[in-house]
Amino acid sequence: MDGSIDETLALFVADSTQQLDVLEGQLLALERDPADHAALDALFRAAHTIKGNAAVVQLGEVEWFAHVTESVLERLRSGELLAGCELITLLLACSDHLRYLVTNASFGADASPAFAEEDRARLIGLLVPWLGDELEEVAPHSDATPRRSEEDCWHISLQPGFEALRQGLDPLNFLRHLETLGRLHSLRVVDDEIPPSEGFDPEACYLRFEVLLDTGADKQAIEDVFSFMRDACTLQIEPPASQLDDWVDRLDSLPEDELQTGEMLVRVGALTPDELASGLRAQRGGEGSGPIGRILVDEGFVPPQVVDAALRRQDEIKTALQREAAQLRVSAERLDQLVNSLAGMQGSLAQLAQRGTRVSAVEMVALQHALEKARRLAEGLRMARFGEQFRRFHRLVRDASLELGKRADLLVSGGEVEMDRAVADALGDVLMHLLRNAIDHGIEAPDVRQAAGKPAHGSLSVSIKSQADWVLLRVSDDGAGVDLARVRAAAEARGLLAADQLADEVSLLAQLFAPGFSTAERLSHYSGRGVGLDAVRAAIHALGGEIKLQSRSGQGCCFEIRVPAAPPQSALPALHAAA
Amino acid sequence: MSSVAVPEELTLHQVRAITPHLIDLARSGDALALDLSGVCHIDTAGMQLLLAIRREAARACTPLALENPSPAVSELLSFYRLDRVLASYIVSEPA
Repeated sequence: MDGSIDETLALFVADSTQQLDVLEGQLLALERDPADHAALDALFRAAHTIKGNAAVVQLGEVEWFAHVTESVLERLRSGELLAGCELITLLLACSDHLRYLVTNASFGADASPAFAEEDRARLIGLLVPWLGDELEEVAPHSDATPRRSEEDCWHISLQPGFEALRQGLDPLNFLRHLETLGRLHSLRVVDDEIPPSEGFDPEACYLRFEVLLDTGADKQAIEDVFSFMRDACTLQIEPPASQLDDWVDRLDSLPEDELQTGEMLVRVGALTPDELASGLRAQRGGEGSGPIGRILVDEGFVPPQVVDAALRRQDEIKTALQREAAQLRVSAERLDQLVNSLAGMQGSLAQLAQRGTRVSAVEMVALQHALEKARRLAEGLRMARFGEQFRRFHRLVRDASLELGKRADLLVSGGEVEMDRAVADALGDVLMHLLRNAIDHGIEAPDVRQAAGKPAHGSLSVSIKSQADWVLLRVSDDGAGVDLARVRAAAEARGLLAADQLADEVSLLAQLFAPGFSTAERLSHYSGRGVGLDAVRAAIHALGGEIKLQSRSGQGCCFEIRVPAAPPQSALPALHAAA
Repeated sequence: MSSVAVPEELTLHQVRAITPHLIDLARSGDALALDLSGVCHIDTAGMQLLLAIRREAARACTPLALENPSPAVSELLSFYRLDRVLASYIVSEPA
């Protein structure tokens, strides 16, 4: 790739990223007010611009997908469609997909497109009902080739629990149900465990079933067949060889988001959320408490080569993110100011040179001032407005509350506060974490809130201001507050507190920041994954700052964070590495 | 040689009642014929009992015959792919 193409591509990526920010922001605006014509126009323009630019740099895939997205937006604008929650969710996913394609373009073509294809096929399937007459343009991808041989089958090993039959869970029903997914290539009843006559209880279950299933269904669909007996059986689902390659391919092309091993495996379909939960329980249960990847292999949930592929990709992503962090995004406006200032100085110097006389003291001082100004402008290139972080906060609040069946509004203030971009990004990550926690654990379900005399919509707020050499942040919610009794119980269970030991509110709240501490009884997509407030506190300490938590039962939580506006220079490389 | 007609219901709720007697016969060493023609309902517990009887019979060198499996029995054995596994025990009279 020669230099000029590289430059054009970089321009395309920068511009499209900006357009995608608009797209996402305006979709959220449209959701708040479906009749917002300004938002509709802006949305349409953004998609159209991306499409046009993609055509210029010959990225057919981006152009085509932007076109499909634009078609739906056009129908929205003309009033044929209404911007409901479902459609906005879909369009946000389309915007994510475009962002992935655009980011991928900036790295050249080194990622395999397996994940993108999968994602696109899924999105197109969802978009079809909204496309109207444009339907013919998007040929649906069909993937229903029947499989034949043994090595193309899923291997399912089902061991019903000893009590399964007595509990009315006859494996026959589940195995018959399995036939609805495909063809039972073979079924073997293993009766080795039936004890000699004296010990034989005819109502207990001693059997194990080994099934080879020929199906195009995925792992989750197979697991779902057994959902009623999930807790009353041992279930292992091993993929066919072809599926294995497919998972590895998909892992290799996962977008460059920082994900935990388990999440990556769930994302490509190699692991079901139930299996992950069970693996994490085993990990917490302390049976060796090794890395999650090894536990998942030991439990027979994921083949070792797939876990290896996930770990490999995780390293790649980490390296890519570090590389990206080492580059500096700068605002075009600031760069223009710097260039103008340098050009001005150059002009002055040229005039002086032409005149050919000695430079006066006044002129010298003026030049020094100009140089000083240029230096400040150059330093300022590192700075970013914190408001740039708000877009992802709004998106998170929207997606997380939707998924968790809650309602929450986010209020932000202080977007104009400026700081080093690395600091802004690191604080942004911390706030994402706190907001996620607040929605998952703080904000109650709408009916619970109403029963407690609160508005059904929870409210979250993020405010930031600068004070002398410090940046002060507040993240608060009007949820249930921290359940101190549960914190106490969890702390006792972990041996951090003795049962008879007195502990006041402050010291209990401090427990929340202990490494690995969790009161989560269940796992959700959003939290309880073992990365807790300890990580948040570590991030804030790395910035030379501190974090405090206040909680009022029934009224909510408030985190107060303060960090130096200019972090210790030594912290910056570490910050980039942690990004 | 004992011949036993297996009752209509060979299911979870009935197996406990018939198990001791059938297992005793399987361990006796005398040839045992189970008449399965009258079985209307059979579930996994019923099938497991047949497998347990087969194991006991094999241990005690008791000759075992599974006679005239009813449609319900045949259907279940065929679903579980046991019709081939048990082929040497199954005796069907020509209709």
